[in-house]
Amino acid sequence: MAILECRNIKKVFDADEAAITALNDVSMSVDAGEFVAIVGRSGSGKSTLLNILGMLDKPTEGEVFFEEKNVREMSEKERSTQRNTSFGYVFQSFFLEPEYTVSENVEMPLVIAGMKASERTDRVRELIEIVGLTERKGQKTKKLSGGEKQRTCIARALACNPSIVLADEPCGNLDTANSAEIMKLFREITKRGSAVLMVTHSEEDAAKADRILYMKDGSISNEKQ
Amino acid sequence: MKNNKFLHFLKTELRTQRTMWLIYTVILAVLATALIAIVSLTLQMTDELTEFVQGEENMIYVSSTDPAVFRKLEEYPVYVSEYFIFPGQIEDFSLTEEYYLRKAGIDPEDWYNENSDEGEYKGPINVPDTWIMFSVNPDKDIFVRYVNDSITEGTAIGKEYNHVQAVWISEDLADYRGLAVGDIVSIPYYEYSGKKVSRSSTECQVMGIFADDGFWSLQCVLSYEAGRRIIGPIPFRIPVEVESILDYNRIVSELRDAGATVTFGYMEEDSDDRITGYIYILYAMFGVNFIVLIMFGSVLVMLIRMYASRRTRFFAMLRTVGMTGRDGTFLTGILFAASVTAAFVLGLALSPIVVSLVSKVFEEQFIECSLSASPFALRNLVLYAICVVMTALIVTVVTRRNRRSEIVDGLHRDL
Repeated sequence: MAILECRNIKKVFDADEAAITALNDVSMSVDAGEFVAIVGRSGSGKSTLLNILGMLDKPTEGEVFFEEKNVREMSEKERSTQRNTSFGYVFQSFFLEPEYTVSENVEMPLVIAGMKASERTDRVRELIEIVGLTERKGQKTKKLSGGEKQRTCIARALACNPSIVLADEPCGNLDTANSAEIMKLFREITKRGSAVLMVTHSEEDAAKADRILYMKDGSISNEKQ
Repeated sequence: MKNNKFLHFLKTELRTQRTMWLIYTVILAVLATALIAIVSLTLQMTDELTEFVQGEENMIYVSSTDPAVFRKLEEYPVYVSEYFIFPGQIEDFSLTEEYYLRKAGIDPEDWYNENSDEGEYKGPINVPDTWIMFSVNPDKDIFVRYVNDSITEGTAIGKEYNHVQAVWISEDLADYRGLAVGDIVSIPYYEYSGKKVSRSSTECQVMGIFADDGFWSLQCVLSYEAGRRIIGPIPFRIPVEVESILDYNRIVSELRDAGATVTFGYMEEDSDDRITGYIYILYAMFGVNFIVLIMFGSVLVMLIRMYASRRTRFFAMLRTVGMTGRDGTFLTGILFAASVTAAFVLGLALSPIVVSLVSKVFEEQFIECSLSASPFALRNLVLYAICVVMTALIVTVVTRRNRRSEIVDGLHRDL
């Protein structure tokens, strides 16, 4: 069953004088517990697609369905709740708060979800343990290495047991060893029941996925199992 | 839970961004100090200057024979303590007994014939030998104020003024008070004993109502068992305290236009200039208030815009993990409300020093009165409340663009 699906998505950015079509009639879906990779060159529209699927941006045309509910029909509060509880985000640029510690960054979604402080502490400890940062939990994230930052980001993404983790070039800033670690974590995530949708330009990383979608010039041009 | 969420991010944000918030708070505290000081000074100065002027310089004397002029005073924010006769004018306005009786509608010939014993003028209504014109406060009792006792000293009036038994009143006064012939009215009066003045009253009957031509309007004629003496109507000279110096020039001007002679109490020819000078100082203070308030608001807008710009990605990231845009605005509002509160606490602590220094300059340079403005006044709390409401509004307006933009735009700002 598809937990996340888009139909005929079109996204046009209004530049100064010319409109740029980033996505053109894109349709796809991700099933529960599935690991899907979208591969494409820079500017192919894969990040734009990921942002739209993750409710971080809106399509110009087309519909997105999460658990069969049309996202367009959701209120801002509903979308926020879904982002908090059903989605996890991993970004190439991490988007961690540099002055916060690893624990504080991981704790953010749990605070917003309204979890009690004592429960949060346990949950944060568990998450940090999963990503292997127990020794660094009190460290400010600005002092972490790229791999550690990305693992913090993954721990934060997993905080509320999301149905799907959306990863935008998660290994883009990492070396080979760290990339392998991250891919291994994604595989473990799927084993826990969450789906993973990853966009990457790396065929090697994408090869770890269950399914690969290819994007070119704003369209899904090829699909191979 | 909601409160915990905001409290959590409030504490974390203030801790991790403490340098920025310290700078913001210091900037706001400087302006808050200026705002509290200038508002305190202005309000206190208004109070004290008004009191000062009322005590010594806002007294005007309105002289007129036209009661309409005095009725006009009711339209103004002034305090009229009482009407009284200006003693220095008595002799100039004395009237004959005959004139007085005629004004009362009595033929003097008849009066003398019917009511007089031989050699005396004693009336059937216990009418006196002497009539005296007294002033009346139409708003209160029929109020008798004797002429200066130095005038009546040694006379029958001075000795026996409390033997009032009858009163004749004007038509205007009868209408105004709803009085008719035969009514008993209470006549208060003062008794003088050296410098001590006590207030008493006596009852007397309205014995007649005389037609008047406006000149006698709202006045009464009292009869006395006293020696023969006639004191006629005298133009009143009424001391008036103008409540606010802001109304001073207007009232003086309008009274003069109405035909009254207006003289000043303690100030002479330069009074207009001095009052105008005080008013200009107050206006200048009001202007400075406005400017400081505008500065406070502008700096607040600037700081909120700076903060929103600097923390755009932070709030976009919070929205990514589930915070709504509205909650983000609320969190910004709390952060700035906390900063404004801290700024006002500092302002309350520092403003007495500023007030003290500025007061000293004012006392030395501008006005001869003491300013002792206390920043710890209720009005400063009101001022703080206004600034917090202003903060909330500014935050709502300034963060609107960020709130409505897509999250992805915020995440990638300046990347």
